[in-house]
Amino acid sequence: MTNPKQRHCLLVGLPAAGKTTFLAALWHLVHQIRMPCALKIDRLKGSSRYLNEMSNAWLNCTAVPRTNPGSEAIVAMELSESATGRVMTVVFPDLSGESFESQWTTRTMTQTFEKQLGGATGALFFINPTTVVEPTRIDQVAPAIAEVEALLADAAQDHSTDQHDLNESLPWKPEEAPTQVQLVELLQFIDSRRSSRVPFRSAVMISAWDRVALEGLTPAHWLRARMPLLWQYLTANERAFDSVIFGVSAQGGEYDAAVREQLSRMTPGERVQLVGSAVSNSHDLTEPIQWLMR
Amino acid sequence: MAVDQQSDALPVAETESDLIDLPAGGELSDNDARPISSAVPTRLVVVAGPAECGKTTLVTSVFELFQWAQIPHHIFGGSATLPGFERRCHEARIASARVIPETQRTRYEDEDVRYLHLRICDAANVSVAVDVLFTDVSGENFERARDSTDYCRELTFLHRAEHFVVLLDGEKLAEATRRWGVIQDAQLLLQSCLDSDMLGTGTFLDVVIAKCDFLMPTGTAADPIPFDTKIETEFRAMFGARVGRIEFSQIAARPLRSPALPFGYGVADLVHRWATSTPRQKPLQLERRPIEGVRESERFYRRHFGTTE
Repeated sequence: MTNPKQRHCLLVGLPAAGKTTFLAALWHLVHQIRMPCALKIDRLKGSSRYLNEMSNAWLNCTAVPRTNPGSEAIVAMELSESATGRVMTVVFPDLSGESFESQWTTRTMTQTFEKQLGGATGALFFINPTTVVEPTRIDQVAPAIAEVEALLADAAQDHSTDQHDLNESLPWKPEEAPTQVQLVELLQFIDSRRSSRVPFRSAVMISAWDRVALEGLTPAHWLRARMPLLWQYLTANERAFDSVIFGVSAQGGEYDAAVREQLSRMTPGERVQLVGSAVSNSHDLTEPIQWLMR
Repeated sequence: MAVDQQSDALPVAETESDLIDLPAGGELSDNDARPISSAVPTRLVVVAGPAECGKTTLVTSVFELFQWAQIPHHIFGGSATLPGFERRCHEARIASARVIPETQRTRYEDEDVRYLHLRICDAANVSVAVDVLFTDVSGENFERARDSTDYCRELTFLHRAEHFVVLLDGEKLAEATRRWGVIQDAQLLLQSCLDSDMLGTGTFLDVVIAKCDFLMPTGTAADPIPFDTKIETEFRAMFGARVGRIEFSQIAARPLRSPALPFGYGVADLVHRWATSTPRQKPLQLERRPIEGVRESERFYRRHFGTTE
């Protein structure tokens, strides 16, 4: 029987999407008292070694180790809601990005994940905007290709190189498919394996937001502009996915020497940035989770 | 799975027995498509024409236009064949490392029909959606159907076609010595389909010139030469009364010869037509017809079984 005070939320995203970095920052935020957060740790219980290690790396402004298939863990936090005092246990399976990628590439899903999906009321979907693969067609870059072709033709004349290779294709690899296609497929798999008809709460987290903030777009506009297929799918399937879009920078910046120096002088909570129409506190990473739990 | 508070390790090695098979996502056979067509209303669009006239390029261009949200009034609602589309789009993408885009030719070991699937939603009201199945059939099959009504009857999917799209290869139409053969082949295919009763008034017909960029004066920004009114008149005279509707279009799904034409020229209009019209809809009759007849038995019959006309 499901514990009504326990909420299962999934962290979903392709490799290097920012899931574990988010968890590491979140773990710090729910403990600290310098900055207000909607959710706070109620009490510690059992081992928190995994979270402490991740959080330490984040505090030290070093890259949080990526979750690989051999280091996946289930993370649970007993949190209380600051406004109401309500106590909930929030459970996150911290799965590797490769395990989600393999659903697309191998067309299989683990029974473990399906069971977690069955108990989940929502998910944080992470997208790393710096690693998005777009469905760029040859005709879209034709002028640049024409230049390269001309250069290669000159080189071939000089060195008698065989030019037939110019129109041979590299084989199709599913892992190189556009990011938006892979994410739509993940959503379709989730929808197909759920038995509940209650819309699945989906917080789309555009990570590394500090890298795209200069484009001047809101997170929703960014998604519509840069991943239109995914945006269309979420819009068309509101009955299946109740979604809201956030921009998040859990690191606060890219870790080079100068940035690390700057970040280390800040209160750690101030490094975090959260952006979106649903945001009331731009440093509070617990707000998306609070939204999922409503 | 019991959750220890804080962290708990997941099983490191998932055995094969722990894995659930997900749909392959490639092209659908009739059997694969049945769960879709039995669960939701589907609309079958048959794209017909000889080999290399642009059938697969047309269908993949629909998917590519959705990838960039370039189909006005409609949005993408999902697909059961995403890997199928991606594989077919690959050789026109930079990921293929090609410099000239291409579309892989349709080849199957058997002659069975395959389908690609898209759910197309009304952008203004997403609850209005249609699941479209596009045929993926080799040109050789249509060439055989053109030449034989018996073979045409073997293409049983034709019976279910709500939209039958016959492509004329614009590249060949541009050559005076090949033009009339292209037109005749299209007419013979339609004749064969109609005479074998595989198509009829329950089908909307689209006669489409593909690769219309070949019909444009080279290097100009002019519009393609309008569909020859004589040819259009001829098609209407031959087939107009035998199908539910006949429309004429020109497209350039991948206009390499004319930079003035955008990718997918003319395709969005076709999509709008397929998504918003079907020969299978009958107008909803809201007004009760007056019950005719004097005798009570006649009135009873008409109330419960309609007219006897």
